[in-house]
Amino acid sequence: MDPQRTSASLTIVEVGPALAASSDVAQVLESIPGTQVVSLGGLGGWSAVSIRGSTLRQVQVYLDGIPLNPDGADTVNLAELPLFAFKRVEVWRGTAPPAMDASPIGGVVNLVSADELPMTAMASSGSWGTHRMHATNGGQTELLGRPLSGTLVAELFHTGGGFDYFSDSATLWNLMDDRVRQRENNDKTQASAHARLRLGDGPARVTWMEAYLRREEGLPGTATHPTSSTHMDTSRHLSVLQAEGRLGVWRAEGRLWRTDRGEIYADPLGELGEGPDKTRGLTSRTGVLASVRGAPWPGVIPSLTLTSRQDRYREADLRADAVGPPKIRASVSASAGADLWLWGDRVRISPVAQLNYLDNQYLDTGVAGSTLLSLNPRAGMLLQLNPDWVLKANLSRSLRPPDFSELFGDRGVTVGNPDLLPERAQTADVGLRVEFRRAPLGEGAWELTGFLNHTQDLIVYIQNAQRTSIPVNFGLTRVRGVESGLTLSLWDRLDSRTALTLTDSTNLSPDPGVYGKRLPRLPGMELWQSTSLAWGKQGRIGHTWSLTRGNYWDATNWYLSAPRSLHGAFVRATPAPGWPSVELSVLNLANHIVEVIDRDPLQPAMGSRVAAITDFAGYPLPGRTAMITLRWQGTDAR
Amino acid sequence: MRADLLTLLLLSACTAGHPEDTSDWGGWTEGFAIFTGVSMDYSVGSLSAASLSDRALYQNLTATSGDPVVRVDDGRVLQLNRFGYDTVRIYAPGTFSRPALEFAVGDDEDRSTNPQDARVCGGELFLTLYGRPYLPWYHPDTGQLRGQVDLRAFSDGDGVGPEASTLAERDGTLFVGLNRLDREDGWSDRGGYVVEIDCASGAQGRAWPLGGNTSVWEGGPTGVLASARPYQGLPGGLFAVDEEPEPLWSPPEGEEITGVAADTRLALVTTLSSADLNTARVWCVDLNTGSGAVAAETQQLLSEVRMSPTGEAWLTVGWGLDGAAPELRIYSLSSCALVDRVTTTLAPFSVDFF
Repeated sequence: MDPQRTSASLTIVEVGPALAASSDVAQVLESIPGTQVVSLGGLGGWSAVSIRGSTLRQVQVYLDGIPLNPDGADTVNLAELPLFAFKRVEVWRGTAPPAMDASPIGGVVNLVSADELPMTAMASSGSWGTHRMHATNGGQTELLGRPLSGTLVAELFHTGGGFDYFSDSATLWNLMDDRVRQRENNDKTQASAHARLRLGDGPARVTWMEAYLRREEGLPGTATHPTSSTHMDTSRHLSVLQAEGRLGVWRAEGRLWRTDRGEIYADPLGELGEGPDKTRGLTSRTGVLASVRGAPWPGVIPSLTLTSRQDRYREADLRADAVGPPKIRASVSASAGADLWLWGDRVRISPVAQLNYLDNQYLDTGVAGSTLLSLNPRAGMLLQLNPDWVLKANLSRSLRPPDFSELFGDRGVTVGNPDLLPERAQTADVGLRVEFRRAPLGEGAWELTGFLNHTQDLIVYIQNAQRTSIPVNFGLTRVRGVESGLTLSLWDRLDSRTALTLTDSTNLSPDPGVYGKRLPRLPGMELWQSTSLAWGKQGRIGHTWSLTRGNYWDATNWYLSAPRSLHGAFVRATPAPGWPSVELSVLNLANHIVEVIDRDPLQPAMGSRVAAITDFAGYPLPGRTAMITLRWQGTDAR
Repeated sequence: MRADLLTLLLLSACTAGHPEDTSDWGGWTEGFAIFTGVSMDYSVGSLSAASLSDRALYQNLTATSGDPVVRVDDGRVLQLNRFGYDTVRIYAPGTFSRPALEFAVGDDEDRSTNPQDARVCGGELFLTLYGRPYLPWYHPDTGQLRGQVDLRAFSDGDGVGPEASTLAERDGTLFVGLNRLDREDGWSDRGGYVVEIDCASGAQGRAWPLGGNTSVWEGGPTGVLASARPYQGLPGGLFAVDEEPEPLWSPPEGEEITGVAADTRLALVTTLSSADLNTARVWCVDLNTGSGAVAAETQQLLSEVRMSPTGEAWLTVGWGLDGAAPELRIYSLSSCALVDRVTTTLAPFSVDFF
């Protein structure tokens, strides 16, 4: 997919040598304009992404085209996705291609694995007892006279997570109990493997892919309310069988996939909840996709995608040895679209009509199910001003249906609301993209886009009793902004990526406490800059800088985070060809763990106080983090 | 239809007609309700004040946690930050720019202590801790821990404690409502207790078993009331705490008492439907005759009701499922009439008076 040939706001980041070994998916997404990444702290810690002010669930994450959270059913933990298992990261802001069977309000993140992989091995070790081992291999042979290729990626990750953080013991006026504490119960261990076999090449091929993840982690709680034993175990399995072929002018694709995800949450002391808890949630999703796309007439490329999916969720109370009734959702969708090339291929118009049908059922209970039928049209236009300059515009209607816990409740903490409406949004953007290639200078691209999102019927929780809440459609937001990205690759030595996002968000919910206020955790300004400089294959040095301003912690806009400027750096050297490279990378170079904010936001005259740096209030972020990495590569295939 | 409702809500929020600028606060030391409010997502809270005479509203005087309770006792405003915060702030009435004292009530255990209620009795500050099997008392001027009452004898079997919740005082004696909910078994009832504590010595006195989720309230013919829901033969309803708990009134089956404001003869009682956990009712109860009448029914959270010095019952009302705005509702106890409503920006959560 070429960002210069699609009307969509698409950014692609190649996972290559310009990235430090300490990079992860969250950091790559942070380097893309229009995105906001939030984290609960530390390498391997939970993180998630918002696009253009969306909620975290309004971003759908795909792994090689397979949805990990279809219809925004969950928030995807980016830490579960090992960056170096993938060849590139695609971010579709606002609209998604029809083949993805998605109309998310925020956008789509698609992680794409490589067709070929060299034999590589990487081992890292660093601060807070963090270790990572990563290996890839690939090969090719023949079967039945057709090429058969395979790739395998495996990764092990562990961190003790015991970084230092500042705690005021929740007493804002009493300084006597302020102290620096060490994060406890913040260990993470993760193993993942990603394997693919492909028979055939070119237009006709069959692909079988398996991805497996196992993760064990302590859930450390907030700075003022840390835990010692609350724990989560996660396993995820993804299996895909895909066939692609060509018939005349038509290209067809069929895909059968299944994901299984198990989560065991254990809070034996009732540290996070108000009582001891041990539950197991099992989610399985089975989907089938068929799409056809062709060029039957000059300048007209129609496409049709049909998908069907069944989601099944079942929760068990492991303490009571009781299994809840299964919750089942069936989904069918059809997307019909076309790319119309006009005016000597200088104008591309891409209308898409997507019809979604959802059937929610809650088996073995008296709770009524619900169905949803929605038509979500969208259209994009690309105007090629000259070979390097293009104008883009997009208009779309999108939604996020309520998920199982919102419809039917969850572990007694939330009461279900079967009458919930889906969250709906109208989005629009207009942008300019300039691409240049000038030998021997190099290449680059610059994009500037303005966007407007209007979202209604946002689902929020209202407390209805001492210990329970109920979701209702109450939210109304408007987000507008400008995003700009510049990527440069010059003289085969310098790689640079700059992303600037200016966002003006307004909460229009009929809640006088938040009406007219900015959306929480959505900075007014966000800047990312990374530059690396290589000298041949012997070495590379790089620097990253992240700057955020105007970031409120809460919907009332009482707590304004101080401007945050974080730097990182890495230096890599390869003594001689064929030798492993050694790299030192450092995150948060200045060891920035506190910020100064108003002591009482309602009384600015009462002075300021020191608070821990957080993304989510109460979850501190780590200070300086260093990693040493040895990386060896057998061939130069990537 | 929804747009009309939203417009109506916004207009109602903008036309409360009371000053909201905290700079208007005159530092008055009497004649006010002080109440905590919380945002819809419970991320922040505040202390606000409303005049008992003209209902003039002074919102958001100072920020609190998102789980705040307020009590006024012994010339002090006691502000508790509950689950996950575990702190106490003590203000002089009228001076809310900064607390006179702030201290944490956590201990070496990681689980939240979750302070629920506070009383100054016998010169000591007593706190109930929902997450601990003891009831501590502190010096109210220094925050120094002075002692604690062991409540392990009333354990409900989950190892956490008997969920000490509400406090009421009568003549130097504290009465503690023990909810006794078994967290190991989905917060199920184990039958509650009212426990008597001598404020001067900290010694535990008598204890009366009642039904589930037992709470205590000041007021009624003996000065202390208790409420509970029926549990395995133990009685439910509203009781006067005397030599033995004396039944005064019971809500209909399927309703549980969540709040009581009473004088010696009349009470305003809030209940919640056990069936849907959404439908709340306001009852006017004659404690002499044991008769009750429904004053209102709502699908908004009724978190607390307390008697003002002027004989009115102030009720804190949260968000409604239909978008109804949060407010303070003020009832006349004698006529059982809603006499005033004060719309607030944050949802009122807890209220007391100075």
